[in-house]
Amino acid sequence: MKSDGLNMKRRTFLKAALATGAAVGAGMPIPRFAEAAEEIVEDAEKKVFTFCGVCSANCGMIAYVKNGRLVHIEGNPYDFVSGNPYNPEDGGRICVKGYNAVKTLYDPDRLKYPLRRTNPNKGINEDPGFERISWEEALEETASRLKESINQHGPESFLLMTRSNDFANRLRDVIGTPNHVCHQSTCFTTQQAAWAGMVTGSGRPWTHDLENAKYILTMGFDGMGKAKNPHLQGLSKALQRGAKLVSLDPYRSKTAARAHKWLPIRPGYDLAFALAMIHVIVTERLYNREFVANYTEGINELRSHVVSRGYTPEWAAETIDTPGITADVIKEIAREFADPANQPAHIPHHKRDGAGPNHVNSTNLAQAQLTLDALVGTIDRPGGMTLPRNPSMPGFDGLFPIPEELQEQMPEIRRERIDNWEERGPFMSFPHGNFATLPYGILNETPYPVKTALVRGYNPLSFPDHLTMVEAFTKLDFIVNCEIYPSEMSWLSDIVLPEPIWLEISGMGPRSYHSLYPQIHVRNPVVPQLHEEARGFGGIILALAEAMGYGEYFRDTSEGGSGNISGGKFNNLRLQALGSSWNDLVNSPTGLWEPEDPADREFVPREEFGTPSGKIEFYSTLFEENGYDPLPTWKPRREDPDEEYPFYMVISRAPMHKMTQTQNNVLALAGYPENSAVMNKAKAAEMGISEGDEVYVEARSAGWMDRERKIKLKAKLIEGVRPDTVMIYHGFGRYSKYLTQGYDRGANEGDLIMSMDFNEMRRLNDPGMGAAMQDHAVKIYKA
Amino acid sequence: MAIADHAMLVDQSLCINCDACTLVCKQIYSTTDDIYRTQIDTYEHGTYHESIEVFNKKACMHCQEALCVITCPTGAMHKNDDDLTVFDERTCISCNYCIANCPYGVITFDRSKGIMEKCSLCDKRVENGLEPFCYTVCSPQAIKYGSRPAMIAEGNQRVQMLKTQGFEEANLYGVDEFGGLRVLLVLQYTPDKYNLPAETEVPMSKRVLKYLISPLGGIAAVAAIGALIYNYTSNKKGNA
Repeated sequence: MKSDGLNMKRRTFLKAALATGAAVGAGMPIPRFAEAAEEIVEDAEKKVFTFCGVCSANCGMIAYVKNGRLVHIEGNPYDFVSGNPYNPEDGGRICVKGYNAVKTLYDPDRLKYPLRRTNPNKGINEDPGFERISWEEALEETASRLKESINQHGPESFLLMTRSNDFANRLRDVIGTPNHVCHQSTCFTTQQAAWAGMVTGSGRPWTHDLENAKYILTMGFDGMGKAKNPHLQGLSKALQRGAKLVSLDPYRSKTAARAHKWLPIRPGYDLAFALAMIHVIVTERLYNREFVANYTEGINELRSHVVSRGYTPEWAAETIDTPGITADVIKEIAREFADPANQPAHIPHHKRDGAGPNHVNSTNLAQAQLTLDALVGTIDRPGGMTLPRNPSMPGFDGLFPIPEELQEQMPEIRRERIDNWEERGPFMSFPHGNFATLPYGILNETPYPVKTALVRGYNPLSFPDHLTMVEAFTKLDFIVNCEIYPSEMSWLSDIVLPEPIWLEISGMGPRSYHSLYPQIHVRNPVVPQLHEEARGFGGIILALAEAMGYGEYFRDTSEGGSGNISGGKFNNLRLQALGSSWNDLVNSPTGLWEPEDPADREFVPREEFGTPSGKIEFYSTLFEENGYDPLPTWKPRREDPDEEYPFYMVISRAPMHKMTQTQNNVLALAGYPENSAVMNKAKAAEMGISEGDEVYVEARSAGWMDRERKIKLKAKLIEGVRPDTVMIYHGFGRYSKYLTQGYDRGANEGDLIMSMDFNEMRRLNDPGMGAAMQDHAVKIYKA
Repeated sequence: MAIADHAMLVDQSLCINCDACTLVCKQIYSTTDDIYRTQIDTYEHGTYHESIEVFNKKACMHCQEALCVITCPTGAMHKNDDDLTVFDERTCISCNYCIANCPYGVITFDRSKGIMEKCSLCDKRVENGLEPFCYTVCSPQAIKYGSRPAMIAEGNQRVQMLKTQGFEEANLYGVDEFGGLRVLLVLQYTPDKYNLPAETEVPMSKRVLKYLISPLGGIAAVAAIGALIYNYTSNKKGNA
């Protein structure tokens, strides 16, 4: 039973006072033990509801504030993502990255005011020589540089790089550029394509009901070790309930370490394993007859396909060619997966796992995984992935329509994009875009030149072919960067605009990543903004629009509205449409809005799906129409190791680090200070490499961009990785000197990954147009 | 108020080495640089695809018969009202006997502050009826907290489940070790795989030493020596 706060006891206070007094008397430093004890027994001044901004799971949080200072964060027990509204006594929990965020808030290296570069040269080794400028100056210069360039080179010469944001989207459309490029091709577009083709017609779900699964098979999915808290908690709960966990992974991830069985699958060959499982289940007729009969189409085509192609366990075992992965093992796992006693059985996939976008066959793997889940009946059913149950709210354009006379003045937007993304099929959302083809487009000015950019939150370190992307960025005439800390993007930019961190702002968020019924969580400022000059992104866009002469497009045209649009107004109107209000949400005792009617808080499985037939299509008619493989089909990797480049490379993240955002956080660094080339012990011994030795990891120079691709790392030797594979954690190799803690640790594996020209993207004919981040071979040698 | 006869249960089969406990504890207690009150150690056994990896949460086990308390000459390391092993810096003489005698290696000397750093099981929170922080924050809920009998029951249940899943060596560690630990561990394999000590009893020599070096224990020391002599002579009779 938790009490609401801690009462300081007189006895404890005296003890502490005595300790400090005695110590001071003796000329000793005051023991911190006494001080720290004091801190945790005093009442927290207040507890504030907010939700995390480290990743897009947006876990509900309760922040503990004392003397105006954030001291600790915990999960919200009523929130689906961090707790369980069906069972709040369980308590709320977040992940280590959320807990660490306290140190990001107070990071002294955070951006405090607008900056302008004084060094005209841009590059990895060029210190921008930032000087402080006022907001007026920053906005004026940005507006005039952008307008000048757009007038000269056309609206399409302006590149917007930010996760979809209503304010930025509107400015984009008012300027009239098609070039809104995001990161999703390196993230999850392959899975999205499979879901769109087989189940939804568009879009993909995020919720995994893992805690109710009894048999969980993962393929490169490290739900316990990286990224998402709800996956971590779900897997743990499943294990506690006696679920069996089998993990296919080239290295022993955290999930694999906890699994009942770890199979070191050859990277990119999970597809063969999955196809063979399908073969066993359909030929031995082990599938859930009822679900397949009622909710799927194409079982006969599927059966003919896997039989005629010969996707037998024997074929798979030979293809995968790995100790421990025999035909018998594959059969055993297939039969276990389909066994009624093990239901629900589920193959979770999220982002950057086997199903992509790590390999050119990732979309095929996603199709195979969905096929397997459908065969046992865990699509939108307990224990499997469930389709979104988000609150239905009006959109930005619906609430704040642009007046017709202004709409008529908006330019027509060109179809061709700088990353060739217009070639995408109907499965891809706008504006995902493709990081893999962007450097090619910019450097070759194909189909036209791009000259300016506004980049928010993205970091060149996370691009495939990082050095080529840096070249592309430095080719631009002008970059304005909105950020919270001086990243490598800031390092290459002309003007840098500071934003407050999510702990300092208001907002609201639906529980898109994990909810069985709609919920909206409130975000309250936990502390007053530390840096007075930081401005919210919506406000920045508004001010920029004014300065560019587009202010009229951002007036509050809602019923009874006046002045400008604001995030606050938007949130209030959306809540009103649900019968609530911003006031209600802020005053909610649980920090949440939920449907009032208990019937709306029950999970009702869908009976119909978004495909043309209304069923889950093993044979995707949408894929067929668009020239893609309608059934899950074997496809090899883009490149396998050979004598010259004998290693596979896999990339992951340390649990306490989030992409490129935490490497200046002292607490996260305490947990993991520097990345390494993680290699198999025996293999390293063979090569004469010892623990801690510096090694080069080098990739072939291939594809359209000929350049040296090599990085230097210290070797870390373990048993838990394939001898032919090296594993590297992402997020290091920092070159922004303004990151005093994170600067120059380890190296960036992005230097090794190839980008693509437009021809290659088309040739691969991947409905997900994934960036194939791990589909190349490397060599390793001592430095 | 604290739960009477309380204990923590760490389920090492659920720990994922995320360091949430490690880093939150460090954040809250502001330990110096490389010093931690709790840490996760990792061990691999076997080779390649036949290897296993285990994680051990290394922090004070709050032994009911604590060697650090027994060997501390000044009582700086002592038991509080909740039977937690806690440290009073005011009487510490930095002799480091506690560190030398701790079988789990969970005490660190912070030279810069002149104190011993170790987990106190958040004694101030426990005193006020709250749970230790690592329980509150553990993301996979590998850490449980409650009454010792309840933790032992839950631990045994979990061990049974692990055994049915093929972990034949699964065991509950801490029931009897060092008089019974207030931090119990669910292990999938034998304790040595987690680098847990083979010795689990307080040596008689340490008990005697305590009484010899503690001025307050003089009488007890005499009694202890007397008991030893009696023991020795009884054995001799027995052998005759």
